[in-house]
Amino acid sequence: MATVAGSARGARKIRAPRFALAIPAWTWFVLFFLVPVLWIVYYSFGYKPDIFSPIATDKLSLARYKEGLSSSFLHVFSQTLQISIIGTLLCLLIGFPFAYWLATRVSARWRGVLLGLVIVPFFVNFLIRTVAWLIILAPNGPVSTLMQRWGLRSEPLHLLDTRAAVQIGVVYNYLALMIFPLFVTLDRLDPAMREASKDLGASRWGTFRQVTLPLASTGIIAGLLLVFIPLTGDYITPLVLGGAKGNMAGAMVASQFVAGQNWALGAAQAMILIFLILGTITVFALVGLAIRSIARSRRAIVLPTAAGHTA
Amino acid sequence: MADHDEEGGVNILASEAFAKRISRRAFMGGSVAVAFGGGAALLAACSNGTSSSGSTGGASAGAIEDKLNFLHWAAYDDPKLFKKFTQEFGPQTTITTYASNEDAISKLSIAQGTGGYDIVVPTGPYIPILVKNNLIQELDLSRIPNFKNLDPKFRNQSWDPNNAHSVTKDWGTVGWIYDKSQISRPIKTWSDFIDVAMHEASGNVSLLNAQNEVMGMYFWANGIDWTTTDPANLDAYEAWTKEMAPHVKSFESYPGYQFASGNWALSHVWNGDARQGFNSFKDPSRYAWGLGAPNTELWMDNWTIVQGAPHPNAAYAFLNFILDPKNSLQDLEFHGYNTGLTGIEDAAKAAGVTYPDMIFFDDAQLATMHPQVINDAFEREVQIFTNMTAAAGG
Repeated sequence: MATVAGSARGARKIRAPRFALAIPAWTWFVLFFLVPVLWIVYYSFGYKPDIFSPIATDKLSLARYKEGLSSSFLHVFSQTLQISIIGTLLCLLIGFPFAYWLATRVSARWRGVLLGLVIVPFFVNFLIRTVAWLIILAPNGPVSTLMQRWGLRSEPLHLLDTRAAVQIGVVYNYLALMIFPLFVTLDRLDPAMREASKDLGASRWGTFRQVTLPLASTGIIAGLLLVFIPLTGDYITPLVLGGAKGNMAGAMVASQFVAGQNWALGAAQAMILIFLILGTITVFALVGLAIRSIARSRRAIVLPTAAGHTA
Repeated sequence: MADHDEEGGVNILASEAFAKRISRRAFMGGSVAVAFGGGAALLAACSNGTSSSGSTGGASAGAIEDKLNFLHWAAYDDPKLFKKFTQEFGPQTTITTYASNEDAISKLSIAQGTGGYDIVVPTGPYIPILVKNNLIQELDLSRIPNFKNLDPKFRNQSWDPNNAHSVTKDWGTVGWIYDKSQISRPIKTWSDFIDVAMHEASGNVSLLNAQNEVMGMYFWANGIDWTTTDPANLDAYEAWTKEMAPHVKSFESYPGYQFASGNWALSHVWNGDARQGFNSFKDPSRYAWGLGAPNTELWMDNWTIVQGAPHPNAAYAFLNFILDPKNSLQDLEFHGYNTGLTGIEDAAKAAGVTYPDMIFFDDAQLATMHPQVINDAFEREVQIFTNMTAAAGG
């Protein structure tokens, strides 16, 4: 094969190996992703030898994992999971109608403008976007003041430094990551598909359920993953908006590394967080596959066999 | 003492006023550096450590270098002073920030003199550890003529005899600030603070995000020496943290300047930050500041020069610059902590500094202030506090 390819392209003088195009990406991933992650794995088996040394690895054990899962930390992990699952689903519920509207109801001329408006907040740094909510949600801030003026509340709004504030913050910060993949898949859907469904007598809901939704599933899955994974590991949002009550695992890991100077425990908790994300995705993927196979078997139409035709 | 959780790399990428506001809220070193403009900040952060090559070391006087790198608590000096220093002496200043003394020490010990840092600002009791691990240089005080301006009261501290390694930057103490429209009874002591925190202010309280301060509150309220190593005392403190945790809304090292947002009714606060709060209040009479009682803390942060500092001459020039009475007064007006120079109190009062009673304390008050001691209980204390912050989220 190589010789054939070689002679066919004999005119070329320099031939790079086939994987050459992938070298930059692989180098980057290996050096800046794989190696540091393996380092973290290694550190997670270590321990903190004394107050001013963050890590020692002369004795390796699983003790940090046990410590990382002790009751005081366990509820932070469970709270993280709750915030991230609710946040991801909220992003889907809010993002899907918007992406659908944008892809099917808005003229092509405005689509670019509106999509641009979705991107605009991304020009502002993540931290600043989040800090802005500090001003908006403050008890003496504009939302609280207006609610009191309009008689919706009798006293100042105490939303900052709560789990609810973190929930609002993560949905805001990750919504665009849901909208983009959804828009791309919905935009590519041939309107003829929906028209055909309608012509064949399907209701609007039926068309949505049986045509649009299955065809958009890749976008939905991409959106769910794009939102769920970084959201679960987010530490800026809980740090800025969560106070003592709205803690999340990412912030806890960061505080072990920085404030606590306990890299072994921080590394073990980072690994637990990775397992938590992978485990949750696996569970949801299995549930999704099960639902799909059930739905397929229910929708299946048994065509008359060839034998039936000839008879 | 000084868990000045701030981040100052932001200065480069944001306007000064905004950077100050952000940095004070972000309580992890690095969080802002990573968050701010991603790549650029990250690369800038990376290059901090590597740009300075070769160490001239030693204390031999010579030309002032073109750079000066601080490992510093963030937003802890008037930014105008850094500009003035650059204008007068030439070196461009870079500030890398840390969130706690422990953080600074591990940054230095990992780099082992190759971090490119020139000046670090540890709190007193941490200096012996830095000296023992050979992380800071012995100072040649003859190269800091303005050292003479420092009040003898603030020289020759127990943690650094004869100022062999450090020069006082400033000192401060701890107390509380509260909103009188929400808390009607006066708060006079730490016991009052705890009682109000557990009753009318429950859920609207912030504690300093610093383990020693929270520990101090409990021991001072109960008449126990806060340097105790008695396991029974530590057990009682641990039990109390579990009782207290559910009432805490935030662990926040800088509640003062943002107190006007109304997020808390009662905050545990360092005096300088409380003063910045009062400077920002539209109606200061609505709020009250209280110095911790019957006992409270005295912490002192100190200028030191890092072992292997690549720009020692610039470092000495800066130390001398900041000990100049005029510059010191300007810095004091910014951060609200006593810089300990002879006559600074009179100078500040003559200059009409705001809320001098939150910066300067009389002898009776000074008698109630006690420094932290790092002893065998330290590790347990850190652990108790870590568990408390986790329990507060429960």
